[in-house]
Amino acid sequence: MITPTSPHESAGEFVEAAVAQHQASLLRYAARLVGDLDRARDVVQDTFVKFMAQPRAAVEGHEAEWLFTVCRHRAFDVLRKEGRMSHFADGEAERVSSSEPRPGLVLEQKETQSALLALIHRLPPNQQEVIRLKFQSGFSYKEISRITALSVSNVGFLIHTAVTRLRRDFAALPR
Amino acid sequence: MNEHDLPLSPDDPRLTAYAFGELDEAERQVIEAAVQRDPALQAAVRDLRALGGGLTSALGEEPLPTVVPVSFSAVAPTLPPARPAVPDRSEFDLPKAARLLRFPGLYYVLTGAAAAGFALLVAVRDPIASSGNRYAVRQYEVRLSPPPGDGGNTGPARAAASRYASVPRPAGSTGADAKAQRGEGGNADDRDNPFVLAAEAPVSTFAVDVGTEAYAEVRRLLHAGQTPPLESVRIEELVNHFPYRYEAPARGAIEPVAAHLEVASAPWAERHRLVRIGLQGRELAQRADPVLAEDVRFEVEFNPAQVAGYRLLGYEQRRTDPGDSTGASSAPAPAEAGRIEAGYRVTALYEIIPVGEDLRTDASARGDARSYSRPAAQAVDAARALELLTVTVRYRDPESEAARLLSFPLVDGGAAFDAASPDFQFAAAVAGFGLVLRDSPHRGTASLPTVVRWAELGAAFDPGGHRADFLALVRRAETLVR
Repeated sequence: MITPTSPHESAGEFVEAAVAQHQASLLRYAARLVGDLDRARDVVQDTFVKFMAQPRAAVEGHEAEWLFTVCRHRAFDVLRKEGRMSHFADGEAERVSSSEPRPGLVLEQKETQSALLALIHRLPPNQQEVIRLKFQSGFSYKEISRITALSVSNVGFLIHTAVTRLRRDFAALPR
Repeated sequence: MNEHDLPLSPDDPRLTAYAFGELDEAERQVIEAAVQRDPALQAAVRDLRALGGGLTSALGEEPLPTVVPVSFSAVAPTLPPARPAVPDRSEFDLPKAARLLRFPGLYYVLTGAAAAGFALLVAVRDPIASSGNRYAVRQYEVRLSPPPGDGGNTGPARAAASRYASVPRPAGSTGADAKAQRGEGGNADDRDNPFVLAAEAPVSTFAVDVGTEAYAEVRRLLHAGQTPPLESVRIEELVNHFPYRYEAPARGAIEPVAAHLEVASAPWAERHRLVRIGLQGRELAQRADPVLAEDVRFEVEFNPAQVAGYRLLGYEQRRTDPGDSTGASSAPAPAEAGRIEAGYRVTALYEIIPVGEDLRTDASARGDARSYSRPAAQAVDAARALELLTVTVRYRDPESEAARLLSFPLVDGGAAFDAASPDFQFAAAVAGFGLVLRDSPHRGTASLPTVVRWAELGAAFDPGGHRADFLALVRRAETLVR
C-alpha cells in the first residue's frame, strides 16, 4: 500500500517543497531543451535525485538557480549522448518577415499574448531559453549567466537580440 | 575621454539591460544620463519595458505541462475525474501523495518501496497557440448536440464551420486551375497523392483504419532479393507498422483520443514542412471498456494564410472514391468513418509547401504557371492566422450517442528536422523509404543512404527492435536497388 508518509519525512519535506514549487517550471524548461517530454521528465527526475543528495545547507536559499543549473547540465548530457547538440546551435531558419517597429507597443489582450507567445516560439532556441529564464522564471542576467555558463554580457546580448526581434516581428503582425 | 558624453545607440544592449534593471550602479548612471539627454532613447526604454511586461504576462500565461497521474487506485479518488476546461493549474492543488507520485522514481528513492503498480502519464498540449482559458476551451471544443449537417455528411456541408473561412481566397481560382496546378492528367503523378492547394481545398481527411501488412510484404520481398512492386509499397502502412510513444488521454478524461502534432522540415525537401499527426486512443482499462468512439472521422483543415499546398503521404487507394469522380470539386473524397478502440494508434504525415515557397519547385505542379497570390491574413485574428492547421476528430460517443468534436490546432515553430523528436524523425525516415521504393516524383533528396541517416536519428528508442530491423532492411535494399 502506498501512503504519503515516508521514512525520510524530515529530509523529505524540504525536498518535497522544492519539488512542488519547481517541478512544473523545470519540466517546461527541460522539455524546451531536449525537445520531448519523456526525456524532459527523466532529466527533471535526475535533477531532483541529485538535489536530494545535496546537504540542505549547500542549496538552501538558491534552490531555483541550483535546480535550473543542474537540469540544464543533465539535459545537455542527454542531447550530447544522442548527438543532437545541433539542436542548440543557434540557427533555425528565420521565417518571419520584418518591418519597421511600431511605436508605443501596447499589450492588453489575450490575443496579443497568444501572438507574442507564438513569436517567442520562433526565436532560435538559445534566445528562447534566456527569454524564458528572464521573463518566465524571473532570473536576473547574473543568475542566468550562472545557469547557462554564458558570460553576463553574452546573456545581455542574447536578450537584447531576442527583444529587438520580438519588437520588430510584433509590429509586423497583421492586425 | 568622458564616457558620459558618448552618444548611445538605441540598439545598444546596455540600453536593454538598463530598461530591465540589469545594470550595476556605475553603469546604470552612465546610461541614465544618456537617456535623459535623448527623447528617442526614452521612447525606446518605454517600448522595451512595455515589451518586458508583455513577455512576463504572456509567458506567465503559457500553459504549464499538464501532469496527470494515473492507475494508482490508492489515491485516485482525490483527483478530479477529467481535466477541466479551465487553465490547468490544478496540479498545485493536488494532495501531497499525488505530487509525490508524479515522480515515481523519486518516490522510489524516498521510500525504498517498490514503485510498481502505477504509471505516469504526462499530457502536454502544444502550448504555442494560446493560453489560459482559450487554450483549454480550444482544445476541448466538445459539442453535446450534433452539429448541423453532421450525420454522415462530410465536406461541403461543413464549409460554413471552416476555421479559416475568413481568410480571403485567391481571386479567380477554380477547380480546373487547381487540377492544372496539381499536374493532374499526367500518368506518373497519379500514382502518388498530388499537392493540393490549401486555398482551394483546405480540408483533407484520412482513414481511421490503417493496415500494416504492406511492411511485412515489402520486408519479405526485399529479404528474398526482390524489389517490391511500386503499388505494394503503401507508405501509410509502412509508417504505422512501428510503435511510437504517444501519450494516451488520461483515464477518466472525456476525450477518447489524444493528438500529438509535430512539424519540422521535411528531410527530403528542406523548404517544405512535414507535419506528423499522431492520434492515440485510451489505453486498455482494467475493466473492459466499451468501445471508445464510433463513426470517427479525422479532418485536417489547413490555414491558407500559412499553407500554399499540402500532400498526404500514403493512403492512396483509401482516399479515392471512384463513384465521386464526376464531381466538380477538386477536393478528394472524404475518408470513411471508423471506430476507435482502446489502444488505438495512428500516424499520418502531410508534406506542406509553406506560403511564399514556389509551388512549381515540385514535379507535381509542372502544368500551369499561374501565380499563387498570397492570401491576406488581416481578416483573421493574429493568433489564429499563425496556425498552420487544425486537426479535428469527430465522433459519436457510444454511451450517450452524442456527436462530439475535438480540435487540435498546430502552430509551426519553425523547427529543423534535426531538432524534431526521435519519433518524428523515424516516421519521416520510414515515409522516405516508401518514397524511394515507389520512385515517387515527390521523393526530393530521399535516397536509401539518406533514409538510413534519418532513421538513425530516431532509432535510439527501440523496444522490440523494430527500428533496428528497419535499418537492416534499408541496408538490404541498398544491395538490391540503386
